[in-house]
Amino acid sequence: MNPQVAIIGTSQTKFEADKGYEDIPETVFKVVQQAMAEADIDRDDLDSIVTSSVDLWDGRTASNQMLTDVVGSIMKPESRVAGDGLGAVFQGMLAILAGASEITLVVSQCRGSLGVHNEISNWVFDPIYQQPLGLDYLSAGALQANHYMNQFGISQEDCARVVIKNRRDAQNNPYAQVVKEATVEEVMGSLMWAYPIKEMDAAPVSDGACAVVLASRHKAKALSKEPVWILGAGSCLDSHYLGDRDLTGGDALIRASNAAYGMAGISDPLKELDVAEVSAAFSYQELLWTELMGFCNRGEGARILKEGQTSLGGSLPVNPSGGMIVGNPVTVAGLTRLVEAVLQVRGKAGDRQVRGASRALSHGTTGCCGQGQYVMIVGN
Amino acid sequence: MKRNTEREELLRIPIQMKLQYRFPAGAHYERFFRELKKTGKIMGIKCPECERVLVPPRPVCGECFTRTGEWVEVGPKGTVVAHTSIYFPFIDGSTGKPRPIPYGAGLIQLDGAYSAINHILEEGDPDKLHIGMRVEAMLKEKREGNIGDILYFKTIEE
Ligand SMILES: [Zn+2]
Repeated sequence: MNPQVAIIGTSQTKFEADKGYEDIPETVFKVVQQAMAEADIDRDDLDSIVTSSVDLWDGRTASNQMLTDVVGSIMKPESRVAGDGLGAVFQGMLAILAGASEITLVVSQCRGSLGVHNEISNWVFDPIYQQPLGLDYLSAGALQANHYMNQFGISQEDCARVVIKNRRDAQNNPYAQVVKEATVEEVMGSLMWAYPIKEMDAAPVSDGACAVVLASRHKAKALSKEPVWILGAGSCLDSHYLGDRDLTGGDALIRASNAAYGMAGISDPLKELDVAEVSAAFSYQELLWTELMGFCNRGEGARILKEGQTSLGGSLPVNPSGGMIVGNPVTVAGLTRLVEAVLQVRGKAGDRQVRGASRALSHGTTGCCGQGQYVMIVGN
Repeated sequence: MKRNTEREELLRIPIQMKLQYRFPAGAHYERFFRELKKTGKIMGIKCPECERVLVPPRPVCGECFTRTGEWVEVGPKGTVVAHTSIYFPFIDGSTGKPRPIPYGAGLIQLDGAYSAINHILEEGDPDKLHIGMRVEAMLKEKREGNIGDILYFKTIEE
């Protein structure tokens, strides 16, 4: 079947530890203007808008309230996804597939610098059973890391090599926040936060925003010389309660990626995909996610990384942008992955370009330890 | 038939939500409050397209989806466009004390401005408040650069 929805404009901010020099509407207006300029549309062309932001991160309820002016949604239909930006793309795509919209702007913004990470992510958990115990994204991630590493005999050094690869590749990404290379020794010697996760294994506190313009097949062909098509998409949600989940089993991501592969007609992702941008807030997650998405067998994520298969120049480069480890705010990460995937298939990824990329995977996740999973495959 | 009339008290778990944030004021809020503190002027910002003066100032005119331009002084006199009288206690964030009730609360369109701003009306008696009445901003002697620098709007005769 012909793909029905295309991406005709993208933009991202430079990601920074603290964008306090400008307010959120200012940051968002810039990415929105850039994405719309790239799509060569003005506000009259916009049929609907989907934003992604999370109240707790933004320190206010209905946190899209401050975006209405700057995303062009006055007197237009706007909806918000209180989660990852790639999830917002799913909503935008559905509006187009339903025939309710021909052009949809999707915007995601988050500022990690406004609040305190572990306080905020503590509030993600059940207020009666879990919050009082101090559980947060980091400590929950550490449970998952250990579970995974024990099951497959993955070492902390294996995880550190994810950081090395991503920090090295981030040198080529002008939008990256962390551009300092690292060694395995440095990662191993960094501050232990929650065993086995150390400071350098974790994504830094980050501020930034992203925007994409989606268009129906008809509009995309009329407006864009280089539309990038959504070839496959899948999403899946696991249970919220950690104790009910198989932490390493990753059924939600297996289902989400299989749905996307089915739509895109992909049977061997390692061979058939050219590049993958994966949302991993911790180094171990990149290994785990790549296994669950079938780039290799279970437990072999560290092996294919060590062999260079997931490096730039390998059979399936993973996160040539550097990924979340070099800085993307929590809820913007998935949309950043899509923007990077689009740049890759357009051949516009600059020094991080995977040569001849024509099919790219982007992945987003929401909630702790990959509760919600989104996989989107784009190509030209 | 025996009816169970005695119920055990429902278990409630008290939880106090406490989160800390630091909001960047941004260029527009910053200039608005700096001006108010220094000169006592209330500033709006003009959209170059629709020429409406927006208060508080902001980077973008949402209606026109255009970057705003020129800064202009508005008020300090204005017209009440909506009002109410409040009979429940409200802890004033700037003093930490409850505001005496009843007090008037209104939307005030400052002279020269398109947007109306929310603020306190000196007059609290609903019988003495009406839409279209003229009011004027009363400012603090020692201003600090926040919304409390405008104490309230007092009724004026013109
Ligand atoms: Zn205007």
